[in-house]
Amino acid sequence: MSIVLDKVSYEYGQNTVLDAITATIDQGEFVSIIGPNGGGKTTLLKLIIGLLQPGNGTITIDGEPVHRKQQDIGYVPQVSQHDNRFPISVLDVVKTGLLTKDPLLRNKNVYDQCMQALETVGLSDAAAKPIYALSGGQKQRVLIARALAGSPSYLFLDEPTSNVDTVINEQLHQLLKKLSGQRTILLVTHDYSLVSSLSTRVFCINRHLHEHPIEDTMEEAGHDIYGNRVMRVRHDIVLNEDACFCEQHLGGHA
Amino acid sequence: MNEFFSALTSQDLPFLRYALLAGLLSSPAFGIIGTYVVVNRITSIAGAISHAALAGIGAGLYFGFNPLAGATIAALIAGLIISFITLKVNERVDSIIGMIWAVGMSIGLLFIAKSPGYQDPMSYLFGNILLIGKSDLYLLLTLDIITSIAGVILFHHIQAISFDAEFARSRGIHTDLFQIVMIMMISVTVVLMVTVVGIVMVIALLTIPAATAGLFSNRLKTIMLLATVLTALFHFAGLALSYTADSPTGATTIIIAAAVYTLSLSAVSLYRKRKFTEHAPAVSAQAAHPPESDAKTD
Repeated sequence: MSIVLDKVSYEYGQNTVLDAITATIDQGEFVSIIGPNGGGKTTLLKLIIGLLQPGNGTITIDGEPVHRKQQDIGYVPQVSQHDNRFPISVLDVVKTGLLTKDPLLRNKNVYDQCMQALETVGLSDAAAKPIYALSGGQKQRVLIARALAGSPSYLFLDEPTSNVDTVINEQLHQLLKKLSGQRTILLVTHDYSLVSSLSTRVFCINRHLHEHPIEDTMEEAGHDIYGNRVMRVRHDIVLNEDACFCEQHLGGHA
Repeated sequence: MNEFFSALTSQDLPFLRYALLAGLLSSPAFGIIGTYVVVNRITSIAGAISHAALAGIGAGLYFGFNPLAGATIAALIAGLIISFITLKVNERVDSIIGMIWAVGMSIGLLFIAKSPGYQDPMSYLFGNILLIGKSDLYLLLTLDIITSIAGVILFHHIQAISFDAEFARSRGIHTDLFQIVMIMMISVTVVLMVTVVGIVMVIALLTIPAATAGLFSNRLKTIMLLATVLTALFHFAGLALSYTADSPTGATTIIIAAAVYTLSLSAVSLYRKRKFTEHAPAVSAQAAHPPESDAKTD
């Protein structure tokens, strides 16, 4: 089971956002996607989910086209994508994570699955509350519960820590730690603490994809602020000159 | 009021029964589709469709076919054009919607002006219950059944797409197709009440009941049900009062609906303010001594 990108390109009008991206992500990997604003991180994620179609190249998941695997993908978009005043309860939001193409098809265990997902993110008590009554961090956890409701094999998150404070950031970190290993996770982020401690691989996207070599530095560096082993992006390897602009932000550790 | 009930059963005034039936029959469609319009903030699209329906009414009068059928066709065409523009054309959508709004009315008025005999556009613009015939009721019933069944079957998809269309798309749902279906349903629903409240005011009856219901519930399904009941009540009250006071039915119905909305909004605002004031000391104390649980700190 793997995600395979073969020479994937994407253009917005005349602007080439992604150019011949090739990569293979194996089952159970935790891949962090970092890079400068406008570098194509979110575009790459949307291509893999099937929200955008590549201009060139192909993307397969488990050897099948993306549209056949969409029901097996849990997606956490940026929190700003939805209407914050929409009249809907937390439970009903999570239920949308079990939506199927056929309007007549009903899953019998919807309630149990949704409550289990809410339990996972620690919000089962808020099931009946309207979504607009929650704080930004709680909403973010609801969106993660929605993505988890269908027990997907793939979990894709787009900037999950962009609107949350440090307390929620740590809770999300612990949650992702719990989820990692059970499923393949792709995380678009600017939060390098997440990259540091959870990732098995780090992709830097800036029109091209460059994979940062990383090494386990547990022995020399101990643990990060969350108590996890620390991975370090190696900078002793020379990258292509336009491949990545992340080094200046990453410092010694990523 | 007794006078109104007597008139309802009178053999000499069938139009009154037809008007009441038309209002009651269209209530479920108005409750469901009106809620969709309000929560998706697409009132201008519904307005453009309702005004474009005049083109079909005018064509019907000019060429000699049922104006209501003409209104249905014109509203569906307007809905299709708006769907296409919204989904595919990278232009200022609001300007084009405004254009459809005005051009539809202009075509309708031109047809009416050139139709043989005297045609009063006021009846279509502001409604005239005398225009409702038995055949119109059958058409209304058919359209209402289609809209209501579609609304019930598609409820979960409507809710998911309205809340977060991108996520729904990530589940493989054809959100563009659903949005086209919903705009077509708006077109049909608008036509349901054009003869009763008129093209100009149908938009108010589509949105005020749902907006009022939204003050009392934060569940989409409940808002739809409550909006259905309110539409029926507004229509009944409007018809009764306009008959008793000898006033235009459409205008009377809209004024009643707007009055109920204003009173409801005031009452709910006062209730929330009082609730907030009662909880303020507790919140202040909490702020001074923040609790440890995450639900309260985030």
